[in-house]
Amino acid sequence: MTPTADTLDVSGGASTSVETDELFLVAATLTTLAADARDWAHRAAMTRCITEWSADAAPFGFAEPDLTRSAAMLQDAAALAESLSSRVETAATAYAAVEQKGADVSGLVAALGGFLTGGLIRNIFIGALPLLPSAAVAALVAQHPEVRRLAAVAGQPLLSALTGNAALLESPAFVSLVRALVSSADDIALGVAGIDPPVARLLGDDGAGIVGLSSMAGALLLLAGRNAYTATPITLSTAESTPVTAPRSLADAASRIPESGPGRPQIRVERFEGGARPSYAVYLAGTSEFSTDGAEPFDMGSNLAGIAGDDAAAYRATLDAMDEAGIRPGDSVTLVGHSQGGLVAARVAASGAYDTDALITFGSPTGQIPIPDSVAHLAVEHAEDLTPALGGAPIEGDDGRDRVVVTRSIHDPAVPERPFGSAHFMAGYADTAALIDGSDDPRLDRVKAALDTLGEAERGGTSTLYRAVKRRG
Amino acid sequence: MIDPTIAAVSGTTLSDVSRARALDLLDEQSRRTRALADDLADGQRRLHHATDTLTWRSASRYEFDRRMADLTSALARSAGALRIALDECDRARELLRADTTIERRGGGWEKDLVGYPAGARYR
Repeated sequence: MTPTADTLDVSGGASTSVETDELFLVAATLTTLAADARDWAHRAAMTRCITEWSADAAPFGFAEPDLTRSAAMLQDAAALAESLSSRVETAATAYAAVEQKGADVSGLVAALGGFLTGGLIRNIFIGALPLLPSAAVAALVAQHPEVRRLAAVAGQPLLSALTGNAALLESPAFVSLVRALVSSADDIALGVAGIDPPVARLLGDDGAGIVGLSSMAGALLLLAGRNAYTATPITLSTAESTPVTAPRSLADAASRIPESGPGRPQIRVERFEGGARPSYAVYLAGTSEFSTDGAEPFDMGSNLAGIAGDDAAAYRATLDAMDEAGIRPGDSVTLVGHSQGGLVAARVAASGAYDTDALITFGSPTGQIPIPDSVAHLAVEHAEDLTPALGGAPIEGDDGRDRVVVTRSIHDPAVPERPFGSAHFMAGYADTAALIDGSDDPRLDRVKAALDTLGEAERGGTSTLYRAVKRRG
Repeated sequence: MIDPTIAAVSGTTLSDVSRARALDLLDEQSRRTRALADDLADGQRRLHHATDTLTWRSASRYEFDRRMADLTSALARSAGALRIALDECDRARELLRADTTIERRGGGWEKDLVGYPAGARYR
C-alpha cells in the first residue's frame, strides 16, 4: 500500500512491513489478554465464593449468579483471545515469510533481468563489431555541426516523450523498479562480462559482494573521467556566523539545511554550549551541480564517490568544515542532510569518528550504508522520489535493523502537471518533516529524543555557514 | 437479581454478629467485584488501542474482525454482568442494614446445614 497525501508510512527499512509488525503486536496483546481473562475468570469465581461459602452471608449472595455468568464469559473470552492470537501470529509469520520471499524473488528476478540486459549489451556489442568501421565514419560525420543539429532535431521527439511521461517516471512503481535495478547493477556488469548466472550471483551483492553496488559506482566514477575521481584540494570559507538556538522540531531542523545551488554555502554547523561538552548539529545541502569538472565539491562526482564509499570532495569539505568549527573526533554530533548532503552525512556517521546522536536524511541514497546501531537514523523518502532508490535496496539484517524509514506519497493524482523531480525538492520534504513532528509513532521517538537533547535547557549557540570550492591546479 | 418465582423462606432473624459478618463479606465481595471490573475495563482499552489503528487489509481481515467482534462482545457482556453483580451487592447490603427480618433465597437454604459452608447446598 502506498501512503498518500498527509499519511506517513514508517518502516524498519528492511523487507518486513509495518503491517506485519502491527500484526505481531496485536498477537502479543491478545496472548496477554487471554492470560488476563483466565485470571479474571478465576477472580470472579472466587468473589462469588465469598458469600457462597459463608452461612451468614449466603442468603445475601444476590450477586452470585452474575459473578458466575461473568466468570463463564471471561473463560469464553480467554479461549477466543487465545485462538485469535494464534491465528494472527500465524498470519503475521506467513506475511513476513511471503514478504521475505517476495524480496528474494524480486531481487533474483531483478538480478536475472540485469544479467540478461548485460548479456544483451555484450551481444549487441560483439554483433556490431563488423560494423565498427562504419560506426567510426558515422562518429566522424556526427562531429559536423549540421549533422549534430539534425540529430538534435531528430532526438526532440524522444525528449518530448520522456518529458510527457514524467508522471510515469515518478510513480512509486517505477521508483521501486529503479531501486531493484540499481541493486542489480553488479549483475548487469557481470552479464556484460559474459559470466555464468550462478557465478555472477556468487560474485554479486547477494553472494560474496566482490562485485556490488559500491564497486559499480566506483567503476562509473572511473568512467566519468579524471576530474571525477582525482582528489582535488578544497578551499573553505566562512560565509556567515550568527547566534542561534537549538532546533525544536524536525521541521525546524529541516529548515536549516542550506539551499543548494552553484555559488551557495553548502554546510551549516551549529555549536551549542552548556553541559560538560558542547554539542553540534551539522546540516548539509544537496548536489550543487551535475558536472564532474566544476568548482563545486557537491557535484556528480561526489554522488558517485559517496555511493562507491570513496572520499568524495563533498565528504572532505564537510570534514574540513567540522574541523574548522571545532568539532573533534568523539564529539557529540547530529547530522542532517538533503539528497547528496544526506549521503555525505551517512558516510560521516558510518565512519564512527564522532559520537553521532542522530542522522536525519531527506531523499538521500543511503540504503546500502551500514550505520552503527548507536545512531538514531531516520531516512525520509518520498514514494515518487527516484534519488533514494539510486542508493539501492536497504541493507537487510543487523546492519540495517535500526534504520527507520518514513515514506510519504506527495503527488496528488488529480494534479497531473508538476515539475519533473518535484518529489525530490526540499520544500516537499520540509512539509513531510512537519507531519513527522505530529506523528506519535513510537519508532520515531529515538530521533525526536535526540533532537530534544540537542535543544534541552534552551541552549544558545552559534551557527556558521561554510562554502567549499575545489581548487583546480 | 432474585428470581421472584423462587420460593422464599421468611422470618429468620440474624444475630448482630452474623449481620456484621455478612456485611463485611458483602463489602469484600463488592470491593473485589469493583477491582475486577476496573481491570477488565483496562484490558478492553488495551485491546481497543492495539487494534483500532490496524492498517492490515486482506481477505482474512474480515474473519479477524468477526472474531474480534465476538471477543469484544464477550468482554462487554462480562463487564455488564459485573456491573449487575455490584448492584446486587449494594441491594443485599441495603437489605441487610434495613431489616432484621429478611427474605432468604429459597431452594438453597437448609436449616440443618447451618454451620456448614453454604456451598454444601449445591452438593
